[in-house]
Amino acid sequence: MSVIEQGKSVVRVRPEPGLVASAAEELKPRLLEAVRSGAVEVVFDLEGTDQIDSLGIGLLIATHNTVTPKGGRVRVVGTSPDVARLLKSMRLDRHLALEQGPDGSG
Amino acid sequence: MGSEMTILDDETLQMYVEESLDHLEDIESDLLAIEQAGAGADEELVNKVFRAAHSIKGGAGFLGLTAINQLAHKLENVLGLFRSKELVPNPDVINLLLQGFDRLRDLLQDVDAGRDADVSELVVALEGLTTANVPEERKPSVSERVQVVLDSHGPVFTVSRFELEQAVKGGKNLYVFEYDLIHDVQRRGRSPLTVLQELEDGGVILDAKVDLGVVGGLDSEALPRTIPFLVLYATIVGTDIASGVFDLPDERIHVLGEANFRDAPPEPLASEEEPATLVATPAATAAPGPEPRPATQEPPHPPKPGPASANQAAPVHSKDQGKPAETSIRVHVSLLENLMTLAGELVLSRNQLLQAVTSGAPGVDRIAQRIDLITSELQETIMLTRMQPVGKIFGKFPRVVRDLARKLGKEVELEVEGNEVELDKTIIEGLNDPLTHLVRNAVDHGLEPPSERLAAGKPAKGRVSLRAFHEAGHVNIEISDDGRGIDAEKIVAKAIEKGLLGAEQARAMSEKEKVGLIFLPGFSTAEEVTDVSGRGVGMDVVKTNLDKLGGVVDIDSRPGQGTTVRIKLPLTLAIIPSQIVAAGGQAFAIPQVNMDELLRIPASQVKERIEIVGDAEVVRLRDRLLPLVRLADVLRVSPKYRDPATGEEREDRRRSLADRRGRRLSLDDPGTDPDAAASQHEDRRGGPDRRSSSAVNIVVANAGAFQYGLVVDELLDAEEIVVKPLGRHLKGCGCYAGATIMGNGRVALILDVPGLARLAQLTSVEGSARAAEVKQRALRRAAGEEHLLLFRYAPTERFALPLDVVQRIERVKRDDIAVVGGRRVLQYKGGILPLLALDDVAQVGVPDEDAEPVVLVVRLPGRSAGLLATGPVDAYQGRIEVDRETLVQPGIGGSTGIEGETVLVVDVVDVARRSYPDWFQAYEAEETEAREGATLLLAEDSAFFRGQVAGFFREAGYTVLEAEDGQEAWEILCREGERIDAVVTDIEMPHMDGLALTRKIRADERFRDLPVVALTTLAEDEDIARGQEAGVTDYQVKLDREELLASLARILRTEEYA
Amino acid sequence: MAEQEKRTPDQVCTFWIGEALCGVDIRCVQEINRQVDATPVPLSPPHVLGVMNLRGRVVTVVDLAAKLGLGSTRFTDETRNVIVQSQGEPVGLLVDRIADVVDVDPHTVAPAPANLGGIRGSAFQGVLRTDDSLVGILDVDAVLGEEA
Repeated sequence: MSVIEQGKSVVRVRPEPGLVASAAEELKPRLLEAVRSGAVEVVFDLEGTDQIDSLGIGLLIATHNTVTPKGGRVRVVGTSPDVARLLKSMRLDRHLALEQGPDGSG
Repeated sequence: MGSEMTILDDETLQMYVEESLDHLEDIESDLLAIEQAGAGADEELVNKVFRAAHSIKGGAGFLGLTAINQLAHKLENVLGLFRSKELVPNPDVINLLLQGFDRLRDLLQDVDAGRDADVSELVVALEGLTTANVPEERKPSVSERVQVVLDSHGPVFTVSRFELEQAVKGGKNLYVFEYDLIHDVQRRGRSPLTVLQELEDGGVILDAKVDLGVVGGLDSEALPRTIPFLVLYATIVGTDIASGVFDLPDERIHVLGEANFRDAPPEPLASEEEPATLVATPAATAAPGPEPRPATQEPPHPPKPGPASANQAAPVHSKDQGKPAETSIRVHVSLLENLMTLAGELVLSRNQLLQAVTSGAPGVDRIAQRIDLITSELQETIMLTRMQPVGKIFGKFPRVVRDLARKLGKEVELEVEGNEVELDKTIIEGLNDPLTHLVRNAVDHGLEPPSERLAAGKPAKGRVSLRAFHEAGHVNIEISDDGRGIDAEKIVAKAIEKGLLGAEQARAMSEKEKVGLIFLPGFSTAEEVTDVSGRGVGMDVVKTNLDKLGGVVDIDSRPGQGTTVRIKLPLTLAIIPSQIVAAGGQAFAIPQVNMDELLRIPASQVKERIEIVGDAEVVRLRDRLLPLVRLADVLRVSPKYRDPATGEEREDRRRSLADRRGRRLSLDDPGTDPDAAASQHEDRRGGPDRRSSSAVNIVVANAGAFQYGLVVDELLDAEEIVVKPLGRHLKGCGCYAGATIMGNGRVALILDVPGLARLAQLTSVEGSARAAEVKQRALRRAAGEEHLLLFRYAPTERFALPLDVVQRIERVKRDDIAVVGGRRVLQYKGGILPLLALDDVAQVGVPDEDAEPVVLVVRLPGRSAGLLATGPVDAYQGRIEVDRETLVQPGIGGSTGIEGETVLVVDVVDVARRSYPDWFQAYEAEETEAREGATLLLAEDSAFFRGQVAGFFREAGYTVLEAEDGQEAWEILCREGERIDAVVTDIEMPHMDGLALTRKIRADERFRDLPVVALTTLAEDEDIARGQEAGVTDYQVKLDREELLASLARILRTEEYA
Repeated sequence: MAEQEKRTPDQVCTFWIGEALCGVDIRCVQEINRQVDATPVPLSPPHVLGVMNLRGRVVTVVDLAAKLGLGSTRFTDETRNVIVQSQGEPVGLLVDRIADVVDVDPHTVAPAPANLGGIRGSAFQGVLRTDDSLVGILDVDAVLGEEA
């Protein structure tokens, strides 16, 4: 099960087993609720996983689309080199703040 | 620059242009290397580029080419700054330089235009660089940008013109791919990572974007239905096949042409924008900006957004043929592999079409022909892109050899031939390691140190030669040296030591097969492989690597003279020529590289050409005998044959190809009257002939070191097939090299020729060593039957030798026999073989003048000799009674009757002893007489030998108790133990062999000290060692009566006094 | 943690093997077709029916019943070939009859019994209880794994 930690205005998400369809489905309503209760920044923690699929990307985008009008932002941290590369190639790093994981190369 | 006025002629100009273009050839890669290295850039490289600019500038000034001169000047200045370290190479500066040199190239290629062209913009930009040091973060102030517009979407991308132009170099096409991450990726079970990888492999991603707005927010419905993803992409993949290659429907692949590009307003120095949930606009990139294409090795270098190129108004052409100097392109290997697969599919379809067209309507034929032609050409062309000259790997060997020779203190000359021979890229890569190992081996183990070479009469400098050449659809690579060669016996000893081989098997092998043992897995161990010739890489690994490439390897070695390793490789991996055969109603493919020829033996000749030796079937192929393997048997399917009358397929119930009854082998010369030969084989006992009368189809298969005949039900066509890998569940079968899809859409398995041989347990055989193998089978013979070799000398007399003692049968020419010191000898294997002649010692007839001699090579204690004979030479297996009295004379031990003819049994040791008495150690007139009442227990399974040996003993006065095998001997021993003074035993016996018997005797208190004499037909060192280990008292040769008796007498005498 | 390595599928494609109703994660299923004709491969393991041509690719076809110890599949009109992805290659599984695609509620998945319809429990990664039946979710990689 994916984990959501809610801070004051920051929500931290750890999708299990990765940023993939099943996690996306599970997280969507939970994130919506978190945002509704005041979260402005959403951090997706992908540390330890390099699973990502289109629906996972869809979740990132949906989240971005929801928080940015409120002045918030989406961060994606702990990305593996592959995931980072994917997001950069898709130019999604123009909209999401990416931070690589410790094993990632710059 | 020049102070003289020179007439400007065409030739001078031409030369200048050529020279300048030469300078510019490597500029791009040089500059990029400099960029990579940044502050640590190689000075030499910088100098090189500087000099290029400098000389271009000079010449241009001289020739009045103003624009070129100016531009080159400015470029030179910037490079000067690099040299003086006042300016550190960074991407932006390098970009500018690249643009500059590009422009220079343009100008040089169209010199007339070059005189007056407007280079002001570039000049200014370059000057700007030089007048102030540009910090790393500084972006160029002017950039020319292009908007990419789609009818369906409007403007979708804005990119720098420079980038676009870089991207289309080399004839690439520009596209916008419209993906839907859900539909095209997720629903198809693909991952965005793989799609991305494919794109990166196949071209350059210039820009990309996800249409965020369409995706909705967290509050929209469950999961997004569509996530549009647009990619601006440059690739050489053509518009007609892009859809197939990238797996996108045509309507979502937008081919970009002139109409799609518009000038865009120059971009301001903006920082990243965070747009709302709308379509993202391309923002200026921050310093750690995304690369237009993530790092892979091969595709062309990534351009960075940079300043404008000087071609202002000209729109970007999608198909920029541009520089004529560029006749080659770099293509990523995986793209080629995609194309290869496509070509493969096409080959399949072509085959299917051809099949379907056999009874086609008129006109269809021609179409089919054309498709056939096109497909073949396509296939060939693509294959050619993968071909690389073998010189690529040969090239490093001069250095390797030189260094190695120096290290080892040897003098070596390396000859390389055939650098230009081409092979598929994958094969070249796979060859690297094995070849390196082989070359190093040659220098390390093959060649002797200079002193040794000189002592052997060779030049001090050793020679290693590396040769590649084509031959009938294959490429051959030979590595030879003129060193010490490979000592076959050492190899055999080592193999036996490692338990890879039995002693008996070893004896049955030819020289070549013995040398071939070094390919056995487990042969060389890490300790032995010195660091010099490669850590832990043994010849078996070399062979495995070559096997994987579909190659076969062979070693030829002459002791003292050198070694040659021959590798035969297919030209390509994926599509190979093959021979289709049928067995058990199924089609199989045999790769041509493993096939030497096809044999079709008509029904009428089957009896004659296919024979049985022991329990193996062989076929006569010209002057040799090939062992036969029935494919249907190895695969355990039931063979089918076509009934010649009805043409239908039936099960073949023959038990063997040649009639088993009669059991006679003719090793006769070919050319005898076939009818006579046939009648010789006729089954005299009568009975129904159960053989079917169809022909026998044999594929002469080549497994590298040896050949064998593969019997198949039918021979079908020769075809080019596409090799497909078999799934992991089938890897364990051991006899398949892959599969292919036939014209009819069915799968046919591709046979692994060496694997089949292994399954059939073929110990490889060479023609003239056949007798040795036969002898080996003789050791497993059924009880009570003898194996004899029958031959003639004078045509009227028949002789026999126990097959055990015959090592080889050699057909020689009379010229090969020489007379040395009054004796006849044979030039044999680089040495001399002493010859024995029956008429020298016995009263027998002499051969006819013109009869071709046959030499039976026999093993005697401590040496080999050849017994002269004439043909026909036959092998016989059956029960015989030997009369040891009637016709006995020197050299003849007895006689017997075989098929109504009297056959004299030769005592070859006696012949040898009489001809060369000095071979045999003279025992001082020893007592050979037995003690009164001495009793011996003789264990020997061959009735023939038992009779002979018992005969010796009884003659000498012993009482002899006889046993047929170790078990029986033991039983007798237990019963009569008291009486028995010594045991004489054969080694190879069924039920319990001689060594086991000896051990049993030694282990038993009652008999511990009983003398045991072991008998053998050959006394090898290892046999003696094993015998001693088991506790044998003495080892003797079966047929050496004198020795045997002397030994026993000695032993028993000692016993007496013990 | 524990055996949750194998993710519970969201949907399974179900089919009959003898008396047992089995399911396979739909994401592993490449396609289902009627090509039950395979070229026999002499000397192959007994449960390998042979190889077939799947649009230019040579695919091994396994008699699933045989592999699971239920004897050879008897061919009828309803016999089908389920092509699955297993360890990087497509493999065809011969089944007796295709049933429905079923959604999986993770809460209704239980560990497999020792024996389901004559098939050993280790072949399954769990069982799913539907309204009227018990579906054994096959662990495809384990079943097709190294020969036991």
